[in-house]
Amino acid sequence: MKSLKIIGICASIIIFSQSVYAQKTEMNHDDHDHSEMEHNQMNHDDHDHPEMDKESITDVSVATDGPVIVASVNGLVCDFCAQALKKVFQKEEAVKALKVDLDAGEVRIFLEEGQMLSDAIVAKLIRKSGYSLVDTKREGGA
Amino acid sequence: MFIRLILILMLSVSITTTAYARPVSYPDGWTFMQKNNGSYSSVHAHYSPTASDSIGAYIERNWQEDITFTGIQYNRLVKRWNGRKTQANFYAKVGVGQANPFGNIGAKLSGFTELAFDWETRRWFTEYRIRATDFANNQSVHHSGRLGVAPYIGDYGDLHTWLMVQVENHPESSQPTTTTPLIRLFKGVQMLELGYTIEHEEWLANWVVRF
Repeated sequence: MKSLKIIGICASIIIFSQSVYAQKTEMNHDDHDHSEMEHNQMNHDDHDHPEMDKESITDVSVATDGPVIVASVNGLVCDFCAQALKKVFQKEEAVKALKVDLDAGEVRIFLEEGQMLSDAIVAKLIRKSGYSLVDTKREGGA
Repeated sequence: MFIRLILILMLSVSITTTAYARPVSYPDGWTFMQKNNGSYSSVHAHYSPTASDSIGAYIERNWQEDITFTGIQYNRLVKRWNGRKTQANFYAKVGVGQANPFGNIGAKLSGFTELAFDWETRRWFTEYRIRATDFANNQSVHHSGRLGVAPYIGDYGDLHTWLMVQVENHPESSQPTTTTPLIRLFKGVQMLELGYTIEHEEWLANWVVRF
């Protein structure tokens, strides 16, 4: 009976986790055509990609140039820490993307062109995420 | 025993399909936690309005005492120490609700409180907890500690693995001290722990997901 119990637990965990990811990857593309286009060339005015935007914020490939703030952060020891920073920073209009380097204890904050984020705001957002800002460096005119 | 299995599945399925919650995490974050071992099964779904607080529902089915607790749990990150390569946390938790002793009289006002301290790097993990419960006048205090090591250091987004040993002490139990070797797997927003309590010959399975 003990083995039955553990099998039941594992099955329910797997089933639920599958459904969560299925929901997250669903997007409605019925009203427009994406054929023969690169995604970054498309007109997105008529539809939303909310989940895609949340996922892509940690993808450095979407923002390798432009203004960048490199923040040295204390307390970054796991992926949950990176998730927390991602969730907080993605709400900022000025932030285009975020890359977290756990080894270096650094967060690279890629800004939208023409936007800025003061050190005070960066420190506040990192504190709000639960961590501590050590210092910042600015690149690309940030 | 079959009823126990059904209850576990019902807790797993019904709660997960209706409420996605999370522990103390980032602002506006939700966490869902499910714990199972030979002594009890529990689900805890919570919302974090700030990075220091969370509140949510907690249900525990205690197999040993034959009691079900249902209530509200509040978690407070009392203090966090952020080091260059380390992090330490001190948490306080409190829960209030009702407990139904099976085969006994009706529900009774019940509750619990817990203090937890952890310290971790990307390689090492330590944790100590003390928990006091009063479920329908059935009172107990127990301690637990964990030591863990990561056999490799993964990058962000990788599958992270921890090998851990958990030692628990239930002073009033006929087998007061138990040892549970376990493996923790951690990827993205999901964490899964599988272990085996040697003295009781019982499996442990814990799952946490954040949203």
